[in-house]
Amino acid sequence: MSADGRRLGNRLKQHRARLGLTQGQLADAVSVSRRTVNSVENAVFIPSTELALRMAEALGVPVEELFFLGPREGGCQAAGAP
Amino acid sequence: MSSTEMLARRRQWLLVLAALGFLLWQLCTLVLALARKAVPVPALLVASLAGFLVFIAALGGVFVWAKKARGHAALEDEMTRHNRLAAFVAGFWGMLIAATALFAAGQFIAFPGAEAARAVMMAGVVVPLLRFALLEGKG
Repeated sequence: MSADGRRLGNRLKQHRARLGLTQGQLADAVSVSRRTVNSVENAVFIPSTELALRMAEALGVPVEELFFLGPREGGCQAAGAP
Repeated sequence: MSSTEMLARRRQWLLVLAALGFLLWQLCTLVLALARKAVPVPALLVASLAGFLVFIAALGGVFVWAKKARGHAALEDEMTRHNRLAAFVAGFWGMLIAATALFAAGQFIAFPGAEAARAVMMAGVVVPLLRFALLEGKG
């Protein structure tokens, strides 16, 4: 979780399924273990920028489509936020 | 299971074996040094030797594993590096806790310096090995 209480989410599973790729195939495409792909997919492990970019490239989507910051825990906005 | 996953699983078990072998070897040696009169010495010597042999065999296994693992970049990916770092941090805390416990116990019972150092070293070796194996087993 980030310092402002927002969790990094991802759409890895949806985009992987769209292309019909298994975790192992995606792992091979980005040179990591299947376990790493699984951990990223389940938001257990936060990937580096480089790995996020490699995954986005392998799935053919922009990185911001693949990874996003979720809402703040508890749903409150910071003071002054729009 | 892919060959990379099999190699990762093998590394995990080799590290567990190395940690348990080292623990048995050093623990028996520690007990022998501290309470030689109160324990069955031959049994401890045999257990200590068994632990040493398991440790050496596991290290040999790691050596063989490292040769087979060449070219498998996924075995050394960023999550593995992250887990290794977390394991070293766990080892630091293990050593700190062992040293603190020995310091506290030292107020009541006398520990030879070499044996206290051995206990801290045991924590420093066993905790990171087991922590890394545990982290690598997840997912």
